[in-house]
This record gives sequence, C-alpha cells and structure tokens, in this order.
Amino acid sequence: MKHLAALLGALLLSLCAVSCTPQGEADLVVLITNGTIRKAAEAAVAEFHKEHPDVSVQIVTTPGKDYYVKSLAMLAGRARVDLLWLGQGFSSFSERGALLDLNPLMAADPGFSLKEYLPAVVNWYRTGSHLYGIPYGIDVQVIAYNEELFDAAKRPYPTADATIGELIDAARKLTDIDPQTGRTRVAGLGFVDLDSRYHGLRLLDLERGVFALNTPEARRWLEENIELIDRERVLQRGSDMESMDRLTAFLNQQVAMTSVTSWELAELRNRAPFRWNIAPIPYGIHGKRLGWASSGAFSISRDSRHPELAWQLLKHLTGPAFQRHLFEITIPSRPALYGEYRAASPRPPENLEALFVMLDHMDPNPGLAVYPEVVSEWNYWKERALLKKSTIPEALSEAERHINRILERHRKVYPGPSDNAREEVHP
Amino acid sequence: MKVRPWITLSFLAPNLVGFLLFTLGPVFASLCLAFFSWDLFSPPKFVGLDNFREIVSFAMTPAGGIEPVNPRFWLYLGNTLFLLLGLPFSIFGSLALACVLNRKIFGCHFFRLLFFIPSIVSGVGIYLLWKWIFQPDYGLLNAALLQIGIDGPRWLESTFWAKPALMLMGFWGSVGGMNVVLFLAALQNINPELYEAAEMDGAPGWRKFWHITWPMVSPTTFFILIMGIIGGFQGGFDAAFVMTRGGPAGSTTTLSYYIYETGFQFFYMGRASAASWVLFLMVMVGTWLNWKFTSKKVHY
Repeated sequence: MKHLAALLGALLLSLCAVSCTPQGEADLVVLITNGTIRKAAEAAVAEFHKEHPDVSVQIVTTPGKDYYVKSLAMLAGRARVDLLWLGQGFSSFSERGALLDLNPLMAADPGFSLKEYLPAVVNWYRTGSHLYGIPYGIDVQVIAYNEELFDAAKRPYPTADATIGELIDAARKLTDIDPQTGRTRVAGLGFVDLDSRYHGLRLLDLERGVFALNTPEARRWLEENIELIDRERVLQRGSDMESMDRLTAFLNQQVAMTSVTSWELAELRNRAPFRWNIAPIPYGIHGKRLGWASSGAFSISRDSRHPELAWQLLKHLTGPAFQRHLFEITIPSRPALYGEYRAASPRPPENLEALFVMLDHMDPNPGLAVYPEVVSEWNYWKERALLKKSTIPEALSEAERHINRILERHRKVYPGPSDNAREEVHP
Repeated sequence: MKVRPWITLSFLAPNLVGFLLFTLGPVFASLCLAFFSWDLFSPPKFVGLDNFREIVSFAMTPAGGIEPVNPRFWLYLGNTLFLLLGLPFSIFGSLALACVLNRKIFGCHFFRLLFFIPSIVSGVGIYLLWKWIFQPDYGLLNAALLQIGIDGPRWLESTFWAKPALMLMGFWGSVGGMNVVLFLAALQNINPELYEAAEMDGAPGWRKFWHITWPMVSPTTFFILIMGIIGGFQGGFDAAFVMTRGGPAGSTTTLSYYIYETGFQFFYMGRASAASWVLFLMVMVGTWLNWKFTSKKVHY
C-alpha cells in the first residue's frame, strides 16, 4: 500500500510539473527586445513605482532576432503580456487585433499630449482611426563613408544634396580591384543591392494596393544593379543580408560606403579605427529622396488585465526621461528633445545633421500584416533577376503577379480599415 | 507473479502523460489544422482540402499547359532531395573514418574525440563559422583555393554553389559524428576469426573489406541510411536559417524551412500543418521504399 501511495504521489507530481506555470504573478508584464533598452525600461519602471508603489512589474526580454514572431506567438498563446515593445513589425499585431486602441485611454488622461511627438511617426501606429502605439524613438537610414578611403582616392565627400548618380560615380572611383588576383580589395558600396528607394522607387503602391515596380524605371534600376555587381564590382554583396557582414566589411575598410541606421552609429563609434562620417541618402530619380525608416514604440496588449495601469507605465516608457536614456541608439520622437540629443551625441559622426535631414524623407515599411510575405516573394524574384536566372521583365512581371495575389488575399482576410487609411507624410 | 496493470501504468504515466500532451496531442491538432485557415488570432475557418491544393496541386495555364499552383513548393522539394545527395558521401566517409579509427594506432582515442567534437559544438556557432569560411572575398576557403591558383566561387551568393557549400559543411559536421560511433561499435563486433581466415586464404585488404567488413556492418549502414533519409527530409532548416535565410533565390530553402516560414513568418498555420503532413507522407513513402529495396541486401 505504501508503494502504491508513493507511486500515486510521483504521478501527481509529474502531472503538476506539466500543468503548473512557475511564473510569479506580476501586476504588469512588459515585453521588450534585448539590448540597451532593458536598462532604460528598468529606470522607467523605477519611476513608475514612485507613483504606484504597490504595483509589481515584470520585464521580459525576448532576443531581438525574430522578436515579432516570438512575441506574436506569445500573445496568440495568451501569455500574460500587458505592454510590449514594437517597431516596424507593428502591423502584424494591429491588423490581427492583438493590440488595444489607445484613444480611449488617452482621452481619459488630460495630462497627456500626443502633439509632443513627431506626427509623422505617430501616424505609423494608426490604423484607420485607431492608435495602437506611442513611439519613443525614430530610426533613419543614412550613408556612412570612410573619409580616409575618400582622401586616398582624392574624392570629395558625399554632400547633403548629392544625387544617386553622383554617389555611384564616387563608388566607382573608390572601388579597388587587385589586378593580379581579380579580387575586390575595396568595394565602393557595401549594400546587398542598391535599394530601390535610393532611386526614389517604392515596392508597393499603397493607394491602389498593388505591386509598383513593374515599370521602366525599375527595369533600369535592376539593370544598373547587375552592372554594378557583376561587371564593375562596385557593390560588395557580402555573404547575405545580415547586417553583421555589412558593418564588418565597412569596419575592415573593405567597403568605402555603406548604409547604416541610427542605432548602428554607436557600434561604428566604438569600433571604427578610421575617420568616418555620415551623409543623407542621395536624391533618386525625379529628385525624390527616400530612406528606409523605423521607430521604437510601446503598445498595450488587447488582453491586458490592467489597461489603465499599463497606460500609466506606457507614459514612462515613452516619456522624455526614457528617450534621454536611449539617445545613444535612437533619435527621440519628441522634437523638443532634438537639441539635447544633438548636444549629447558624441562625435563622430561630425555631420549628425544628416539624421535630421532624413527625418523629412522617411519611408517606413508599409503597414500590412502580409508585408513579410510580400518581401519574401519580392526578394525571390529580385534575386533571380540579379543572378540572371530570370530576365528582368520576367522577374518583374512574375513578382507583380504573385505579390498582387498576396495583396488580394490580404484584402479578403483583413477587409477593415487598412494601411491605406494612414496618413502618409512626405515632404 | 501477478502483474497489476495500474502499477505498470503508473510507472509509465509520467512519460505517457508528457507524450500524449506534448507529442501526440500537437500531432493530432496539426492534422485537424491542415483543414483550416488560421492565423493564430482569428477563429479557425474550415477550408477543406484547400491548404493541400495550395501546396501540391496543378492548374491549367491560359496557354493550355499545366503548372503547379505553388511552384516554390516543388523547388524546395528539389532542394531537399538535392541536399540528400550528400548522405552517401557522409555514410561512406564515416565508415572510412571508423575503419581508420578502429586500428590500434597511437592517439586513436584522441582522434576519436577530435572527430566527434563537431557533433557536440553548438550548431549556430558552426554555421556562423562556416559562413565566414565561405565568404567569397576574404573567407578562408577562397583564400586557400587562391593559393593553388583556383578562383573560388561566390559560395553562398550563388544559386549553383550554395547547396554544395551546405553539403560540404554538412559532410564536415556529420562524418565524424554519431555515425562513426555506430560504425566503430559495429566494427568492433565483427569476429576477428573471419579476418584471420581471410588472411590465411591470402585475401587482400579490399577483399576483406568487401566480403567481411561491408556485409557485417550492413545492419548499421542500413540503420544510418534510414535515419539519414528521415533526417534529410526534415533537415536543412537550421543551416539555411542562420547562413542564407533560404536564399539566394530560394536555392537553399528546404521543406522544413518552408514550413517554418509559412507557419511562423507568414502565420498561415493551416497551410504549414498541411505541408507538414505532406512531408510526413513523403518521409513515410521514402522510408518504405528504402526498406523494401535495401533491407534484402542487409546481412543479419
């Protein structure tokens, strides 16, 4: 009988092990990505505790790689999350109804003013009339260049009003190929490929909800890419699209220019053993300047058990003190802090203004839940064209056919207020 | 002695409960999900066989021809089968290595350990290392090839070389791994009298290998082949995820990567489940064919 009791006890324990959750019960759970943001979030929580000493807060860090996939899976699995960090993957959450509309909470809080935030960036977090996130920082893309390589080639540095043609010309002059081995010693440009944005071209026409690159301009852009990659070897493609390779090649002085985002400046500052600076993305065709941009924001989960408390914490997580904490990696979303940001940012880069120039030319990823699928499809056909597995017209028309099909399906699944309703802010 | 079934069951229960909850349950759920459209958030919607049609069916083209509804699935199946071509090299490499390591030579234990190390090192670390080795402009491999006058290819950037590059890396990782341990165990189980008799008859080394070693290790070879094919159909995800993200132009995307991408990047859970079951059927048929045609050649 004793043995039987012991066995039943063991069985109960084993059942308990698989059914009980070991988590402590925090009042609020904040999901963030890893990196510098953790310390800033801890400081914001400490400030929040001064006002709400009885509310416990747990900060959960999820590694940055595939953060959106992991956090979306957590929300879908009804894991306890009240607040979560979001950036360019925001639409995957908002379109699926995973987030709480902040408008009612904001309306009930007269002390909060959305006008203090850059309107263009706030609009990225709107879907129709709903607001699903408050941004704390802005990330823009600029061109980083190695001044020493420019000096050695006796070339003038890129200027704020340079065109894409001038940038490519400079890159040609800076490219250095070993005549004996035929290996590239220095590539002018360290991009995976020359982004269509740099030519002023967009992947999607959001107003019509269709693929927008099956045009003569896009054909010329792809032809130029092939020319620069294969014939002139001005573009150093790296082994893939991971930024690690791209920055490493720049840091090793194997590429003269590369695109960097504002959060990468700290790494360059710490690691670059040469003189370097930044310039805005050049003007593309028709004088249009477009640069990829993103931002960091906080949102409240639809399933939050304490939305009012979460809103109070959200204000700290997007407030001035939090933004000051993150000056090293992101531009504040409150224009009132720009002066402080300029003063606090160490040099290099000397031309910090390039970041502010790009604030007027931001082109974030379109806010569609299916955007990852669209990009995957586009990359497939673009790669086929660049590797000459398909002709350029064939690749563009196939991309158009498949991507429009994805967008069509998206409209059927998410017929509600779509991204088209968002205000697009361009100069 | 009287066996009480509930005692037996209670001993089995901890494992059985875990198996039912975390293995059989999700397997059954994925079978059901394969007939639904579901993005994790919205309520699942019954779509019948649509998910399977989306993956494996064919449609008429406007010109009257036939084309697959999802040509990429077939491309990824082709990639998966291509990567399986590395399996025979890996098996024969492991057998050759095991034969060498089976000899009583100085430091053989050290070398056994050395060759086993890739199996216990973190996969991601190895993939990152090989990514740098394959880097075309300043990677080790092309630098070494240049020393002997060969202008190396742009390995992971080329649709032609990306798969062989992954196979080369896979060969390096698997040739000294668990397969060698299995082959070593099999070799050490061969009765030495067989070799002695062959030597008395004056059989040369390759004859001894072909007529004694090869048949005697055939059950192990068969086991490794079966497991290798099953693993090969299911594999290729981690290397592609870390090293190439399935590119260039989908040339290193395997079926397992496709399932991951469909399920966890695009959130088509129903289609990903259907693709998993299609993969399961392929593995089952492949294993059955292998069993049917190869098992008779195994010496038991």
